[in-house]
Amino acid sequence: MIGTIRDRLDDLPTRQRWGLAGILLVGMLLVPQVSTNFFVMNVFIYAFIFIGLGQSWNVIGGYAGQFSLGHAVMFAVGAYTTAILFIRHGVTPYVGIFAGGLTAAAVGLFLGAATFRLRYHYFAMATLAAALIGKTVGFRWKYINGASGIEYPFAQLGTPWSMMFRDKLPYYYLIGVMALAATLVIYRMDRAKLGMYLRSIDMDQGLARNSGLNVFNYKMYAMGVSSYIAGVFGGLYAQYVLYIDPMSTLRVLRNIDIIIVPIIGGVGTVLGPVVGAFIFIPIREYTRTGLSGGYTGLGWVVVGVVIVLISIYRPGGVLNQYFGRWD
Amino acid sequence: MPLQFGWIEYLNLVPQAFFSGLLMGLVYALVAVGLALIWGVADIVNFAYGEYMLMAMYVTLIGSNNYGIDPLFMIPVNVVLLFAAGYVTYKLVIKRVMDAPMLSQIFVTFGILLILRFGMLFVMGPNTRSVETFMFDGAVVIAGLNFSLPKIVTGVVSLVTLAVFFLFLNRTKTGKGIRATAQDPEAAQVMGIDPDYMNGLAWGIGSATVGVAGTMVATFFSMQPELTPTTWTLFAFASVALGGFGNILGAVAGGMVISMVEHLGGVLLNPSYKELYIFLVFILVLIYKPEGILNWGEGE
Repeated sequence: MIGTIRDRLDDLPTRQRWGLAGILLVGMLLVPQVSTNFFVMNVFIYAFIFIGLGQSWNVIGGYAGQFSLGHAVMFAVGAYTTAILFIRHGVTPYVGIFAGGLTAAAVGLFLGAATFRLRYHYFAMATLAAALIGKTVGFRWKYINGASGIEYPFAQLGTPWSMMFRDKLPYYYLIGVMALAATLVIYRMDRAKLGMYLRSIDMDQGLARNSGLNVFNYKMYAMGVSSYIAGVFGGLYAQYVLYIDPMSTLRVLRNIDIIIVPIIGGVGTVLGPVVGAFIFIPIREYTRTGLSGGYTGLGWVVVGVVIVLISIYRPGGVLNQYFGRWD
Repeated sequence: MPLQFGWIEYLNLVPQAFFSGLLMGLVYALVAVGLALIWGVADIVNFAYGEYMLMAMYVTLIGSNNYGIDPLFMIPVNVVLLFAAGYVTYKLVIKRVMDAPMLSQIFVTFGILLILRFGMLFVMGPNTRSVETFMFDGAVVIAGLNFSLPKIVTGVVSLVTLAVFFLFLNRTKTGKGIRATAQDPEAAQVMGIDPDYMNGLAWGIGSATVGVAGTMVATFFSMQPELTPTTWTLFAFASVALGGFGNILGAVAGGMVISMVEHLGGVLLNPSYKELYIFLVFILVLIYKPEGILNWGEGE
């Protein structure tokens, strides 16, 4: 192939590159002008949420090469923190989601400190065990209402500081901007030293360590960033759905959900989660509604087939073929 | 947790839990050896392992409830069926990712998990179902302790299957080939052993053992497509982790210990957190001793 897309993007003058991004951005701003259909808006908002979660997982799973199966825990911690702060303590979610990010980061760092000695399958399974512990605790812990979950008070709907809106449009812009912010953060990281360090850990951890890199510290750094983003988007999810319970936030499939996005798009690339979210979420939402009723679950079978095909023919995601990472 | 009995009565529950744990430990061991075999030989973790077990459970259910075939006679059916399922999975999917990045190797079994789990959800429906009749229904009292007859039969069948499994691995030429591939694939290849053939066999045999376990467990354990497989996959993972990854003999010991943790933990501590104790043991072993604490016998 004559040069990868990344090379071509790199060849573009900076002004043109940002111009391209600007055109895409204006396109996204115009979507609600074309259609404010409930379903279309819903698909876009979920795609934005999953861009954020995908970026979050990508830092640790893509760049640092640590296959985390426990990111739903940080997602749930963010969601519950935001909801509990708002409903029980009257803290506005505009502050709450960032507080959720901080608590999620704390949990993530604890998990990382415990498990970063492990690699590959071992790390995947340790984080899976953490996810299951999180799930069990979520279903039993009385403080967070256990299995019955937390419901938002609808009396607050539409009040200025509640971040609860009557229609989808404000959510579209709010969560869209947050997804853009998360992507920009990862773009900065990708170009900065941290991105390079994490990639080198992924390629050869022993070599990275021998070159004087404090592998553990940089993994913890990455875990902090990753968990913070997951927590913030957990909070946004709670504000959008207005009801959270362990089933929706902590079920085992939620952990896989989050990973599917960067895996489909491109592991360890800035645009991977964006592309992946816009492939995965429409498939998921349309099959869920189109194949509902007597066909429960067939949508997931479709996703499963996609995953198997991508693992075989495009290891590392759709984009990596063109970004030349795994060659 | 408030105690409902005095502590003397409470301690009386311990022997019951101990022997029940021992009996169930045999099944856990059987489930774990299959996973350990696949892991040890093909060097791939099958996250869809519980789904293969559920497949055997549903076949048993259909055979028993719809056609009146006793679950005991479904064992050979499931052995053949699950061997085929494992072998085909290897040839069709796993073989193609053997050289792929670690990430795809981990992820591909999640694809299989989704296909099998939701395929079964589609075919069998979301309700919890159970096998209605079994030739050994009922309970027996041995030395003052109560045992359900299906569980005793399950224990015996598991023990026999484990014996056959180890005889095969230790006494037959093919079995020795499988063990050689597990220990050092390259050296085995030099000796004229085809690793591709051995990987396929390991996937087939590993799935067949869980097929036997699934058939027997179906006689006393109700099944649901979204909950049952996760539970059993995790039991198997925890057992294998405890025994040292890829160590097949260690997996047997791991299965026994995990069963003990579950049963004794259920009696001595809060029973509603039974699964949590297993997950805690699992993660602690992974963190502090990833090579396994029961790593005896043939190691790597």
